[in-house]
Amino acid sequence: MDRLKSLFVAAAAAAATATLLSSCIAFVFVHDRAGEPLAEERTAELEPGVTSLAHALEVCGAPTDVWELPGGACAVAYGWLDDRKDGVNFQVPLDSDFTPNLELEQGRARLHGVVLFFDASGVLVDVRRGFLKALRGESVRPAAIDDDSAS
Amino acid sequence: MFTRLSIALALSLAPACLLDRSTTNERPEPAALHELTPGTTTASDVVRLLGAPSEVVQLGKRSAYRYEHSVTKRTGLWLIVFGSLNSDTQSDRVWVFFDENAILTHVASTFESERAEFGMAWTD
Repeated sequence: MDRLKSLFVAAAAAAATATLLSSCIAFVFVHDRAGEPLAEERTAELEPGVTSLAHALEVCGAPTDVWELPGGACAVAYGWLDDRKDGVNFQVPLDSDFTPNLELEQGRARLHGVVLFFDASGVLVDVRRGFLKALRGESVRPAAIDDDSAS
Repeated sequence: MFTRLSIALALSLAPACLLDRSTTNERPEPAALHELTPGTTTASDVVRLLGAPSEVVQLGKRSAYRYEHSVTKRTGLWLIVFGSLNSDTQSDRVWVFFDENAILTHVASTFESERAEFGMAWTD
């Protein structure tokens, strides 16, 4: 009977310790995934100076993002996310890690991918890889549009 | 006794589990895309067929509309000092490009929202 009582006390102490620990320390596995990576075979088909916008869209599908560049040029981006954060957390990360609204307006900053740059005639001029936010930051949007009717 | 303890344990762990599915926007109808003809279809036609776009991008004198429907599936498991949080977001996306006269020039579509999956954080 004494042995059973000791076991019960030990189990209760272990449970209490674990419960107290959970408020400040946790072993957390977090995995965020968004979109599918653009297959290498697809980008291998793209040839700067040759590939048209129409062909690129046919090969790669609908892009994640599109933005304009000076001189009537544009950039077409394909992004995705496969982010893991495994380890010991000293604070429960519910706010930062479990509300990953990956709808593009909020998720773009974390997307990695491929950006295709086209000239004004719609011919591919460059292909770059990296974080979309960084690649977009390198591009400069035109300040104003030439308006024929205004001249 | 063992059965009762098992049920009690299962019930006590149930609040630590989470399955959540959320969606953004209506799904673009794949059938409607067949009615889009580059060189003929206008921006007004596209809006009539697909509705209001999620985003309008200015490309000099040209423009492009994005239609996007996304599905996010989240799985959570929290057991005292152990946590697993998994989120998978996939989208159905359509981009339509117009020339300076608002005539359709290109259409690109990708339908992947059904590929969103529930899963644990340590699985691929």
